[in-house]
Amino acid sequence: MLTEKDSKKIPEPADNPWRTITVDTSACRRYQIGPLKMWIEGAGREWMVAYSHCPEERFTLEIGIDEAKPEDLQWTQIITGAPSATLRFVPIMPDRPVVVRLRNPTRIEKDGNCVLFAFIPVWVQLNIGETTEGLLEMPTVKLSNTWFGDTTMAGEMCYSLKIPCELTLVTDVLGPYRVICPVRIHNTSDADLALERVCIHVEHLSIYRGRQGNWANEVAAEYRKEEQKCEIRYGSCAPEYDGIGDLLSEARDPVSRNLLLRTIGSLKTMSF
Amino acid sequence: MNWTEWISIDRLINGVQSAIVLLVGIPLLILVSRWIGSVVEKNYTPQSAMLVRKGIFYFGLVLLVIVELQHLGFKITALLGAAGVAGVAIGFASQTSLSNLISGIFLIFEKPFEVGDVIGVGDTTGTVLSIDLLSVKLRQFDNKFVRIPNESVIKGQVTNVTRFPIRRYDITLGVAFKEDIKRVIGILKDVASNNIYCLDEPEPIILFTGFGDSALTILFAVWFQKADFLALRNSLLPELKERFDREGIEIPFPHRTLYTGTVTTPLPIRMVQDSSDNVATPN
Repeated sequence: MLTEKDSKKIPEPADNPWRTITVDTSACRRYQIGPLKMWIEGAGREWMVAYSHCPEERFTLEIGIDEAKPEDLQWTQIITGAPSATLRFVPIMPDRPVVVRLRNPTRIEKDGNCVLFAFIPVWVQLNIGETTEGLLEMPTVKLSNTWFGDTTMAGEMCYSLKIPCELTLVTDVLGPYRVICPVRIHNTSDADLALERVCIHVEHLSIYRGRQGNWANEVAAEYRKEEQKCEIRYGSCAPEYDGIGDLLSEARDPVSRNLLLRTIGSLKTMSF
Repeated sequence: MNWTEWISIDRLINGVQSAIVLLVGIPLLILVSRWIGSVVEKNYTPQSAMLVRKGIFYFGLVLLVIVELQHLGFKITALLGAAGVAGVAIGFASQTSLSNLISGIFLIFEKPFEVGDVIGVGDTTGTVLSIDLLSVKLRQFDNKFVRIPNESVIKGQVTNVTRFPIRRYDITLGVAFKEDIKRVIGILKDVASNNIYCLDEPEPIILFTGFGDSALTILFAVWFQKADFLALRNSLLPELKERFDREGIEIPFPHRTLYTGTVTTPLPIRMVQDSSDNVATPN
């Protein structure tokens, strides 16, 4: 993994949606990041925000001015502490773990390792003016819910990702609203590890800008069958695959120590 | 006893002192029990906090009264003896209350539900407001307050709707006999997959349950997060109807066929034109 010392400044792409926008009128403006459409109206201290999801994806921040404010949407009124004329969209990880399927059921031999690439759609945090805590959070993709646990009585609620994770980095699913999350799995047990899906605790991951897309810090998992446990290490900086860009957002719940999580071997699933 | 002799300056002073102790002690007891209750609530359930709060208050109150009675010169041993005799008489007279009390203790230790759970007792369903020594208090969904004696709860069947984080919603569907079952099952899977409230795992259960009077019956059961119950119902059922209409899947209503003894021959009906009032009459 690269350290901060080795980092190279990656130029900000011109179509980068994660930037500050100056709003000069109070007209209703339309923005689109991936399938997420946002309407923002207001100026000074009073703002109105609404959003919806559409089937057509946009890979750049689309801006337009709507003559008529769409009334069929649910609008949220925001009153800021100080008047402002700037908006800033910040990508953040979803607020719950995400379960990702592998494209094909996979077996990792004893002492074998592999890297899975998951493509997590981010949430958009809206900041107005100098605010940094986020006035509103909107998912770019509406993910369905899923349950991750041994039984229907014990487990945790997660989001389910329809796009499977890959063993090689593919770029056709990339967009500024998806974050590539590399998961390195090392099977240190004395038996093969069968794997069908993984649960990634994305709340522990930060987002960085890379050359090919946005990246999350690498998750390294060491599987030990005898203990039915997995030792998890979260990288402290962007992974080495794509150089290091700016930190776009901090993790919701950063962890500095290694975690020891129980895996659910019978279901061919792992939780990171 | 001559009351004017019994009431002396000392006793009056003692009485005033006891009154002051009670006036200060009871609010202090309330404050202390609430504070300890709030500390317990942060680490345990609201029900445990309520029990601790009430336990501390009543125990403290009894202690306070006993101390003050002693301070006033009453002999506690004699009082307790009298209380024992009275207890037997009161016990006979309050069998129902005692039964509720014992049932309440069982409920507290067995913990079939907690404050905040949605439970069903008999025909009553509601959110548990409190579990007291004599009764369980519920708030029904239409905001009615219901008090159920603990004895009834212990004797009857109790359903805890919100015990587990996820639940299953079962829909029994009927489709016309002419429909292709495999196609219908595929459509149901797709509807569940596109509804964000239906959990992907555990997978929806789609079961062809048999041949009904008017339809092929299918059990369509989806899992959901317990908090999403209303959102799921309000989205899934209209989506099902909309999708079935779009795909041309017929949801039949009960049919009744009349015949006169021969299956293949229809009931003979002849229309007769009446010149006076245009009424058709069967032959």
